[in-house]
Amino acid sequence: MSKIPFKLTRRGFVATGSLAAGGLLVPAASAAPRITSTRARMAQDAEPKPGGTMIYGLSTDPSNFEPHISTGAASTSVKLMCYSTLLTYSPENEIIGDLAEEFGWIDGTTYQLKIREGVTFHDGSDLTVDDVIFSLQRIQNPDTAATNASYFAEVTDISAGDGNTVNLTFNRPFQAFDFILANTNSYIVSKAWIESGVDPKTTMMGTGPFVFKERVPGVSITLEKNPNYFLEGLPYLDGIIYQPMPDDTTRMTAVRSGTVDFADYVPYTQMDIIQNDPNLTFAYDDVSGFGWVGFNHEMAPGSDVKIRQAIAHGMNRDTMVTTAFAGHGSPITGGLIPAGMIGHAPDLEGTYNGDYEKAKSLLDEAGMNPLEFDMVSTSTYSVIQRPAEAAQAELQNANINAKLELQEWLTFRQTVADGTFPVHSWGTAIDYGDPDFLWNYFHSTGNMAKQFRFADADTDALLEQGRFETDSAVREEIYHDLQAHTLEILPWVPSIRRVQGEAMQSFVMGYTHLPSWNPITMRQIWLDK
Amino acid sequence: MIATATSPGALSKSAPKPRNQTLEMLKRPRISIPLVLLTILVVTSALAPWVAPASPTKMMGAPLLSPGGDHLLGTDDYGRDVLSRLIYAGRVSLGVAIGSVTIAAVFGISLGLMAGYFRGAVEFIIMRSMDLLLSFPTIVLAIAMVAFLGPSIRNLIIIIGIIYTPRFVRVVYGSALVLGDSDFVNAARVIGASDTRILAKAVLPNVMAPIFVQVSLSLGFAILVESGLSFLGLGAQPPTPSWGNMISGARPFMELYPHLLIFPSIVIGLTILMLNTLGDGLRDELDPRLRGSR
Amino acid sequence: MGRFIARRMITLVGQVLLVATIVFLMLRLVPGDPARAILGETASEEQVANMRTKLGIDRPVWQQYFDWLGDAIRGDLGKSIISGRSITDDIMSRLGNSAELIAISVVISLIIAIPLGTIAALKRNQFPDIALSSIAMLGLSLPGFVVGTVLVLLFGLKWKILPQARFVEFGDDPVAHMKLLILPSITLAIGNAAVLLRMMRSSMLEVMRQDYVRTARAKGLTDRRVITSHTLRNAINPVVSLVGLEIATLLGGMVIVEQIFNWPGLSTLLMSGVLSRDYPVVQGVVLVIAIITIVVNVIVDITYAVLDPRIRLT
Repeated sequence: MSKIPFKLTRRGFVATGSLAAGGLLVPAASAAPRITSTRARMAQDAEPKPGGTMIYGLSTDPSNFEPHISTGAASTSVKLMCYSTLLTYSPENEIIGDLAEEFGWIDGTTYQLKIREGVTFHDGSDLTVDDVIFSLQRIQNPDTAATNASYFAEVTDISAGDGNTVNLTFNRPFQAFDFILANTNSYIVSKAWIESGVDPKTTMMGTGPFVFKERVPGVSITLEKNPNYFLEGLPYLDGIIYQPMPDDTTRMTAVRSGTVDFADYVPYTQMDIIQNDPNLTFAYDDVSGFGWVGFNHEMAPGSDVKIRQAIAHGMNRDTMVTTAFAGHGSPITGGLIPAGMIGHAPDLEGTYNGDYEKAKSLLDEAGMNPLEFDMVSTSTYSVIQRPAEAAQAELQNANINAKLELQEWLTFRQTVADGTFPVHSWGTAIDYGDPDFLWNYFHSTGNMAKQFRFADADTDALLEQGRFETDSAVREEIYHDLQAHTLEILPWVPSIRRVQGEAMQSFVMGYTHLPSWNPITMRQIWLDK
Repeated sequence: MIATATSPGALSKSAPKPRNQTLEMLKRPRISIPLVLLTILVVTSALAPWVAPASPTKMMGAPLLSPGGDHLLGTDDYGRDVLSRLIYAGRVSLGVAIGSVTIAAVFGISLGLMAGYFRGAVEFIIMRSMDLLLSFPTIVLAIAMVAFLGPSIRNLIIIIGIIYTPRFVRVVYGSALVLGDSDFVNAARVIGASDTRILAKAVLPNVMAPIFVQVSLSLGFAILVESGLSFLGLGAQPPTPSWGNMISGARPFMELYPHLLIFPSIVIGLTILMLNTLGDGLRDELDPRLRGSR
Repeated sequence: MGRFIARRMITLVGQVLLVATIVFLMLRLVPGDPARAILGETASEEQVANMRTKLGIDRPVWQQYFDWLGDAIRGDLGKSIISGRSITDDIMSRLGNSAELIAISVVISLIIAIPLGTIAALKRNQFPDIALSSIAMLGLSLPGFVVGTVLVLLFGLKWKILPQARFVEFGDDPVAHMKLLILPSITLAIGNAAVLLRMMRSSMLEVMRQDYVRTARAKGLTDRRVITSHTLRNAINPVVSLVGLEIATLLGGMVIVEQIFNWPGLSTLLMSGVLSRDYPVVQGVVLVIAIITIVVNVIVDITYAVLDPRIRLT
């Protein structure tokens, strides 16, 4: 096992990147997506100026700070500044070590992490291998109900190895495990702190670049610089004050009027205004966020594959991007895996894109022309509601009348889980940069697939092969086949991707919007004023 | 309990009004103008499929076109014709307003009359339940009911109807309380008139004036409540247009495309103005004590 | 009077208990559960079931009800299941903010409504009346979120007179705090003033045709005397009653204004509680709002009696 140095230069990070060159058994870096952010903001030439406090307009008041349960993208940008993960992303969106200096498979079933030495928690105690083991076991423990628990299903043992290392023993080598450790729900916590009986929902104590100071619910969350952060020179800011501003228009007005320096989640209605504002910068990607039309496979009409194909043909994705997001998105006409990720299949593109006649003839074959059904979606998030409305409008062209009911978010989630509607329209984001993310949606044990009542033996077999195959060339093929197969049987119909990004004052430097939506580059932010 | 001890001076004039009075009322501009405008509004909405130039839900042209050209009032963010949506939206908005206020008025008036007339346990149960309803935050009620019943127009009408019932109860109760105790009602009791008959023939006509005001105010409010609920995603369901959801949908665009906000606002404003003018006018006309003093 | 108050207090307890019970049961009828809210969208059904057990919401409803009620009676509203924070603390801080905003907006709307309503009544059907009534109607016909957004865009973005600022406590910076209050209280006041103005006008008209006012006029008292000493006092009664009602409604009904102006009040706490199915938070907030509303109603009734000696309390 070779050393993967993690260098910090004066200008910020330079990821040494290619883990493959390091000779690890599994070339992890080749699995990393090469999707680069369309508008990456890097402090290229200027010298970072330390100091200053950044005001951050936050789209959601974080429900709580529990480190191992996802509480949404907004709270992630708070939690990740207090806690650290073992692995993280470079500004080039490649997986790099964070609390782990080295990482990778040392044999077919053992994943080893060498823990960085000299790291201290905010309370002054040292980070130990015990803390790491405790954290990973906490994720694994069903009582925690951790978001990433299912990814630890193949882990049979977590134990300390020689020289500050932790070994994870797997039944089978889970290829996407790097991404799981870099995920923002895999924080490393202090064993002593958690066991002291604190409520990690209300407070934070980690090894991150900022120290949790106080929270006034609905008003602010204050973080202060961690002077003992393990990456020297970082962070540049003296502190971050997060101010929850759930109303989109309010949040955007605040960033435009200079009340806040940074605001997450720019609504598409404001993207043009923000982009045209000389005082503001918009950092975004159009890769991760995607939407689909899904089914309850045990219910007519979605139980008929011809109907699902008709619906797939009946939507012109280009029109949908215009109607739903005024062009701030991109169509998905083939497989869901984006360019740069293993299994991306350009040859499948154009499989489905607004062939209304084909859709109608499929309806005829199924004996259901015209077709009418109830479709449920949510009014809570416009990024889900708008594609649903756009899909509804498009489908009319193919004699398909989707009667739309918009429910409040949790009601909608319950409705989908209970399978009371035959069709739904939903959207979310790619969980991690490995095609294994599809498991959740396609595999009969996947959380989403289960809600859709979808199960297909061939699909399961391909996903299982892909998850444990170590040869990336073979994986390319497996995931290509998987997409070709799922485009035929259509567990659900992918529709469009959307632009997601943050707005900031032009003096906010050093931030990069990563397509993984991991906000780690916030630790490099400095204010050029 | 509150009882106003003022003696109402209008009791003796509760006899049905002569027919020619209706005609005379219609001649007054503050009654006839709003009546004509509101009639036009109702008729246009009712005849929407024949009147509207385009479909309210189909995307007809490019999104966000300015007024003028092919689309008289422009298009919205989905490329739908704003004028057609406004016309169709009248059906929903006026329907919700009329439906919910009817519910509120029917329940409110009956409960208020009973509470004020029968007193005792009936009064206690009715009035304290109304307090209860008033003390219940509207949003909780609305979200719970929408989540439970589903966000349909019918449920909207029920929810807004329930929200407004206590207001009618309070208006009617006060007057019924005084009337129930009056010589005139006592006389009716003595001659053996049934309670229902007394309530309908003697008490009700005398509380009509405040009811008219309440109705005209509530109709306007109901349109606004629907728009507030739309803002929270609980109003009429897309793509069905209502004036309220057109306004709440226009908010993100109000800076660059103000026409989306202005047109429905004008229609709502005008409707409410007409309703209230009409309400005031009717109140003054129907209240015999005011007629002389004009 | 004493007996009246005592009786109302007993009723009050009953009403509050009823509200508590209704909201408790209603929340459990609404689909969507807090376990799902806590766990996020990728949670499996097993995780949801585990979380339900952990939260204790898989126990029989009556058991949950009596546990909660028992604690609530002892003044312990419990902890939020979503944020883990003390509900009493959160309600207290939010309640203060809400009360402040409501108080200021009510004062503004009364300052507008009482004199203008009186003028409209005195100049009935003349130009001032028609003009004032039309303006009031305009105030009535614009939804709060439109007024609010327009104010923010104009004052905050265009003229930059009142830039949207971060919320600061009064104690930390009184000037900044008061500045923050301006736009939201105006937004609230616009709608309220319109309602109160109409009420003032119609109640003034009502009083003016009472016999005693006619008598006063017939005696040759000037209009000014008649208004100040006879009419105004009585005409204000219904307005007071309406204000009482408005205050109570606003406590839980300012979601939109609080959201647009980022004001951390009780309504937003309630709203987020409902949306995340944070049962104890919603129960706690509704309980507090119900108590306040009912108490306000009692106070309004008593004020009524004090202002108008003809009213008897039974």
